[in-house]
Amino acid sequence: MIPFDRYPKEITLRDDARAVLRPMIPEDAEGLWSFLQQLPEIDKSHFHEDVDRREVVERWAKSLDYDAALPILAMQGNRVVGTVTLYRNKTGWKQRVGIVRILIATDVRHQGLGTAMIREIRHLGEKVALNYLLAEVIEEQQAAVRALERMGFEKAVVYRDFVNDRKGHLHNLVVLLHPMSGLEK
Amino acid sequence: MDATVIDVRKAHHQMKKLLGEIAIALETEDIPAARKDLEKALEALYSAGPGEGGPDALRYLDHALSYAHRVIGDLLHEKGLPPHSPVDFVEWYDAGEVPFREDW
Repeated sequence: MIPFDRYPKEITLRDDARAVLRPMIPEDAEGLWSFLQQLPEIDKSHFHEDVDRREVVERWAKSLDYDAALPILAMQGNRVVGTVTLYRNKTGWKQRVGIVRILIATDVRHQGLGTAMIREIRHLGEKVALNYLLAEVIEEQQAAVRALERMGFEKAVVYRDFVNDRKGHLHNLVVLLHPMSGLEK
Repeated sequence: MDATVIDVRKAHHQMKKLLGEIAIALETEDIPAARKDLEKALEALYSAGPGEGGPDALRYLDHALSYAHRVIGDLLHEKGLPPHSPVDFVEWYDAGEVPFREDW
């Protein structure tokens, strides 16, 4: 069960700045869109839709389904500075596998927010009884890969020249897995 | 840097004490991932053996310390406190360089 009672959750970053973690709500469309616009192109490559189109983000905000995709926002005041989303299948053979996507604003990186977001999603993954968390990261995003590995994710496979960015350039895709505690009981 | 048997025994004792303190702190917290990491830290500590030297003992103690750092991080996260980083405590390490740091 998703532990909504833990939100809003205040965290402190390395520079003593505060951020609040909470699930996304429909009213966050504008804030999320602004956040996505300032991300580097490489960070936007994995989206299935063009996130530069405001109506795409507005549609997401209107159709939130936490059991399928649970977006947790990191807020500083009214500004979105990071997101971590847990994607789940309600049925089928991957219903115990959660897919994790993390995005951090460039100006708050290296302050521990990414690691905090991984901790948060690991906790949520435990609470919704997943067997595995799966993260897919482009190999160039080494800081993200290292942070995931430090938090217990293990490289499962690296696909060479497997995914393309929005300009068509190919990149290696690193797939990392995190076994959850229920799996080992 | 070579560790003597006495160094390893001392480290083992300190690690056991640290993990005991962490276990007490975790008792009142509902953090399954941290409990799992504490179990792994204890497993590594037992694998190191009480006071045995050699590279395997050091490797297992290193694993135990890594898991312990992760549990401390989880506890701080739950309390909303700033993240723990070994780099912050570099002056306490008897080593030329702390081999890992917070990057993201």
